[in-house]
Amino acid sequence: MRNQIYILGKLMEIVIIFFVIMTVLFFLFRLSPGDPVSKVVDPMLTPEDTQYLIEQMGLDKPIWEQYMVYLKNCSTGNLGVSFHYGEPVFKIIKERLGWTILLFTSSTVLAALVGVFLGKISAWNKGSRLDNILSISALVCYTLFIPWFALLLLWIFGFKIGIFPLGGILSPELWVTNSSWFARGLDILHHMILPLITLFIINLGSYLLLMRSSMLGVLREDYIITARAKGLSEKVIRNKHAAKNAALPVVTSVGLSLAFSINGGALTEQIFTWPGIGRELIFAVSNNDYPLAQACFLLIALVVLLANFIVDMLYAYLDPRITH
Amino acid sequence: MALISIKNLSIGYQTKGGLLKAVDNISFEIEQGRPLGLVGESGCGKTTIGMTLMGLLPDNARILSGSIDFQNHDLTQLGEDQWRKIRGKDIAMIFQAAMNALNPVMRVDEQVIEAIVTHKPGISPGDLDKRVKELFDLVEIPRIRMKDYPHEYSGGMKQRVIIAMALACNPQLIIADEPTTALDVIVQDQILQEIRSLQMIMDTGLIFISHDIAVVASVCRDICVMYGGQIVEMGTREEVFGTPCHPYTKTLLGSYLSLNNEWKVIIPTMRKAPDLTLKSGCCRFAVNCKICSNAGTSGIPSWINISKTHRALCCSEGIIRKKK
Ligand SMILES: Nc1ncnc2c1ncn2[C@@H]1O[C@H](COP(=O)(O)OP(=O)(O)OP(=O)(O)O)[C@@H](O)[C@H]1O
Ligand SMILES: [Mg+2]
Repeated sequence: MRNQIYILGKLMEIVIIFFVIMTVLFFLFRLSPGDPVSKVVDPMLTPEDTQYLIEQMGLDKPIWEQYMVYLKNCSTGNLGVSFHYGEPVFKIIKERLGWTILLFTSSTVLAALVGVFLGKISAWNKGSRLDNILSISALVCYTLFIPWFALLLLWIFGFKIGIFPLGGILSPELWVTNSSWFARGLDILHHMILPLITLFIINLGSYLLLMRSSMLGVLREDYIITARAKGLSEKVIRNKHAAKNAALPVVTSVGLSLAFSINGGALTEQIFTWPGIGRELIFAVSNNDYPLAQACFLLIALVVLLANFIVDMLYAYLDPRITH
Repeated sequence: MALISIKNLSIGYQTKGGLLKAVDNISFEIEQGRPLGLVGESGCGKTTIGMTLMGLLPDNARILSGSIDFQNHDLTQLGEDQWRKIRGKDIAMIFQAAMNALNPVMRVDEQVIEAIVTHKPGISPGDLDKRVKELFDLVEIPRIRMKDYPHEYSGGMKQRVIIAMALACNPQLIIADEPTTALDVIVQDQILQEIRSLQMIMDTGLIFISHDIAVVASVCRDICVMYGGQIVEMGTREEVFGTPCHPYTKTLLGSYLSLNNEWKVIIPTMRKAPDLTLKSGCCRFAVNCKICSNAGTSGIPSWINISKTHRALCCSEGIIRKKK
């Protein structure tokens, strides 16, 4: 029961934060210099269509009424029509979202798992050659310039060696032929590897360093000495007692770092022409497609909020001290 | 025959400022069923001795000389694998009831189970369950609390669990390092009762480490007083606390009991910390000792036998005998 109340509270929190973000976005877009109509309605439309849209979004009304209309539209998924595509933004975004989630989730989970494992080894062998190599590599990963690294990968593996495609998600021949789901899945995986590696490497460094420092802290805790005093083997102490406790802060940081990895993700999507939200956002911003950009921002905010919610739940499950 | 006998043990810590002789040439024996108390102020090397007897010295510590005979083994010569078989099984340690001497993400009973299973891998589930319940009964924790997490326990209960873990394999020697320091007076008293009665029931050897003379006096039959890494006086409880001989013992008692004037003379107004880098064999209390500064002694102390069991390490035999 207490758990349900907690979850409900958390969800309420998300709704409120999302509402705030929605509001901020609304005013950011409306209050920037220029005619509001030009930002919401495609300049290429006929006057009749323009008039229809202006009325639908209440652009001829005072700003707070526009705001109410905007809120209502948002809540029903009516986010306007993209200038460029001439299609409802909602529909465009819906198609992109899955690809972004696929790429982000897999790279984040993979990076967190490997980071935790390597960080654990690194801390356990503190001061050794292995530790030095791992820490320095992690630092390099952490400070990598994303576009440079992505292009380097693309150049080496896509162009020079040619074992991976240069971009996209599916080979053209699989689009046209009636290929099996399995073949398509494999092909998507093949396309995903380079962007996945890029995001993986970029995230890996921070997870490794975080796990390492967390583990070093845990190894100084009294319960590690207690574990030693029982005569447990080093492996049990390391994996069962130390690593489990040390991994807790990493779980939290997965949620936090997600928000920060959005821009890196957008660049990665852009370079590998991965049809996700990030790429769409870059496209929308550089083409003044305001409705599309706004929707991308909203959706990214929503995804980050939900991811944080999941991480919170996971953390509560892993750490018995969190009681709701 | 003594359960464990320590001969001429010296232990050093490698530090930036050179070798720190935290324990200097100490010898004592422990009889089964005769609790021995190690008293002395903070930093005098009590924990260092305890950790040595568990084979848990930190990496920068080294045994410089001496031997520890236990069950026909010299513990100073053991490798990590051999230590692991002794730790928790033959020699167990009760740590200070610090907030996190128990692993926060493991259920309490699992931590006790771990202490048993490590040394009895073949134990049947039924026997294991019986033993765990027995241990919780022994330390008077209700069985319904067995499955709790440590944060749900009070400080006193945590300490009881730690005692239960130490008793899990019926060890022959228990080292209790300030087991009641972090507890409030009432709980402190209960835990002392517990330790006293358990020691009596199980008839184990016990080393009780504390800076609190009253606590040590209530538990131990034999007393070793330590100063600056040296044992300066040893004897039965009655001898050491009834007729203290060494100037430091008097200081120590003086700082607890109301003083008589004779003792006050010895207590210097300014206390200097003992110099642990001093050459082995020098009296470390000399810098603070009125006897030494008045009589201009050599600074090289020797053991002065006051009775068959009572002796003191001092430079000035005459004064020790006279004061008695
Ligand atoms: N890992 C270490 N490295 C260097 N010096 C150390 C280390 N551990 C302890 N020492 C030093 O060794 C001396 C003895 O320390 P120890 O912990 O054995 O004292 P103690 O009698 O247990 O004190 P307390 O009553 O405060 O627990 C102290 O001077 C301490 O500074
Ligand atoms: Mg200590």
